[in-house]
Amino acid sequence: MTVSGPNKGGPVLRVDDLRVAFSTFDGVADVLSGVDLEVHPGQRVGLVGESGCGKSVTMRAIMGILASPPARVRGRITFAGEELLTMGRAQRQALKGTAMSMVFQDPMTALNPVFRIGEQLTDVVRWADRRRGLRRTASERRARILEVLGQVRLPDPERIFDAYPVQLSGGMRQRVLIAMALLNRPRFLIADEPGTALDVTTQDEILRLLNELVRDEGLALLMITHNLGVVREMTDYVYVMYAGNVVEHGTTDAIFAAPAHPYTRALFACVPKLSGGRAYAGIEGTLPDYTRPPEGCRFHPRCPHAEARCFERPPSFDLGEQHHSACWLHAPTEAKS
Amino acid sequence: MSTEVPLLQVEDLTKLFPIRRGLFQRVIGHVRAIDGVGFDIRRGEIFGLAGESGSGKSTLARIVVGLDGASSGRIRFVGEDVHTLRGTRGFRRRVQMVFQNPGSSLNPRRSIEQTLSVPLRFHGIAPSAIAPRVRELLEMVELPASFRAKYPFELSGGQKQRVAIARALAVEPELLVLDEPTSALDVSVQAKVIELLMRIRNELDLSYLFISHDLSLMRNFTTRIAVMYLGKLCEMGFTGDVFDHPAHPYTQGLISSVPVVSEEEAALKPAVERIRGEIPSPANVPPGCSFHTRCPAAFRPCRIDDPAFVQVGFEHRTRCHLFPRDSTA
Repeated sequence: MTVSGPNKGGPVLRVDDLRVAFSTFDGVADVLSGVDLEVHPGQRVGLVGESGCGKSVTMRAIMGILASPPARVRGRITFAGEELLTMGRAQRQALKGTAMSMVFQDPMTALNPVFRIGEQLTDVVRWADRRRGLRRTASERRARILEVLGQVRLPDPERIFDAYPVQLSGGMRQRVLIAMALLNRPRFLIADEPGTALDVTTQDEILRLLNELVRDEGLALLMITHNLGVVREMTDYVYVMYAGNVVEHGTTDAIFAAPAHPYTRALFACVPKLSGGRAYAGIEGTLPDYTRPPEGCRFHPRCPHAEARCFERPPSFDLGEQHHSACWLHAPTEAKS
Repeated sequence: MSTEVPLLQVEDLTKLFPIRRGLFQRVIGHVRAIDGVGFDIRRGEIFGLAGESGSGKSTLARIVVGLDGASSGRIRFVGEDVHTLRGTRGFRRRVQMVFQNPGSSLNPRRSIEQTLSVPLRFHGIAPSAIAPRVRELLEMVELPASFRAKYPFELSGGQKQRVAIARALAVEPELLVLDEPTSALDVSVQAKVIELLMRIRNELDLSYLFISHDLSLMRNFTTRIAVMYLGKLCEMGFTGDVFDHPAHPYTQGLISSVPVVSEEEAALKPAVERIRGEIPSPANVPPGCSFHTRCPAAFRPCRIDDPAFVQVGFEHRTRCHLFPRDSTA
């Protein structure tokens, strides 16, 4: 169990001991083995890890878009005080795209090429209105869409409304996807690698925009990414995932000042620095097979500090008030402050 | 600098792609994918080519290895014109390419041994020598010999890219063209592949043309770097010089938009206004300096004249009206 994050009247989102398993031909893949995380109002939280670490599965479980079966989801996901995993289907559906919303990763595939932007956005609004029992006229909906298109700084919203996705550049389509997520005034936004598919200069613009919107609207943001640089520039609090576990979490400042967990440290050492001075360590070995994960700490087969006790799963140890590491190295045994 | 003949010389290279329209597919214009590009790659050097998508860097790579022809200009390999060499096995053997996505550049129906023996057979290696050479190649890219019998689907992304590198090395090339070789990989895997490429270069005395959009990686891996925008080079120089004193507003903006992981790096970013908007279509290149539509420093001449590629330091050139004439260091 971990308790973390600043406490401003309770978290918007709280994930407790989330476990997700998939049935595969090779047996049961035990993908998430007890993920805990919290997102507070107005907080920007990063979930960082490499491909296959379980960050997308975590995100899908939160959004309720994991096909089940084959997925088996256990644990608790509490959103604004309500338990998502046990709530009724209709109630859950009504939350999607309204109070909790999502910005998808790939602006090239997330929009339907045969419908105009306006039609696709209208669908989102109309759908949400129906779930919430709101009655709005077509022109009211259109006005809301044009307002949001302006908010994401798309020039000439009227023209964008009537455009097809092919007529827009990648950066503009990413803006449309952000607009889509904001249409129904969410409180909580999940962003899955926003801008990754774009060039650095465009990605930079998109991240700045997202940052401003989150701040202006007072949204809580959960950002999923593999890019540590993006995490540093976009978040207040970070969870580092490895093989279905959160291995380290803390404020972005604390973690970037002194990454503690051996995996986090190894990951930082792999990032090429703009300051040069090549020091490529890389990480030996590969991600474990989820149908037969290593016992105890899942990083121990690749860890230079592994020892006997690593066959037992380490709890999350406190390194500071807002910095925690799930590694036996940080167990408060001997004389340690 | 030594006076020896550069390994590769690219001179005033231009590549036009026709734009066709209508029932008879009439040519109504051209896309200038590459417009008057020139640079040398010296023996033993890692030459980096940076740019956003649509800048023409991959087209240039394809022309260098002879997969495409140029519309005008010349490429020489050790002094000889590649156009005449292009079809010859000798040239193909000396210049090899590693593609971006190892998932699609390996044939899924061939075992690793088959994949690696194709170029060996094509280049006339004796059948009895093929099996030992395959083993040697796998060892060189740090894969176990048992991988001979595996198929691509059994391999991770990093392992596939190692096989692709082994395949390129099979015929003992002198120049390797690496087109975004690690952009599909995780950083921990990228670090290992880059380490491998560095070691191989030292052992085999190779030169690389390294194409990437990842400037942090470029900073660490390349000897010299050229920055490309809409088919033209806008800056070129030794990597340290270009990163420490970027001259062109595009280079400055590009460096300053890289997300970094430490204060130390953030302090190195040039304090410039951000580049706005996106790269225009190469079919519709702006007149004058093609960057002026996004340039925070643009002034009147930028919209009219295309600036010359002038010297701004020791082997450091840029194409910008802020540097009107050669100011040699």
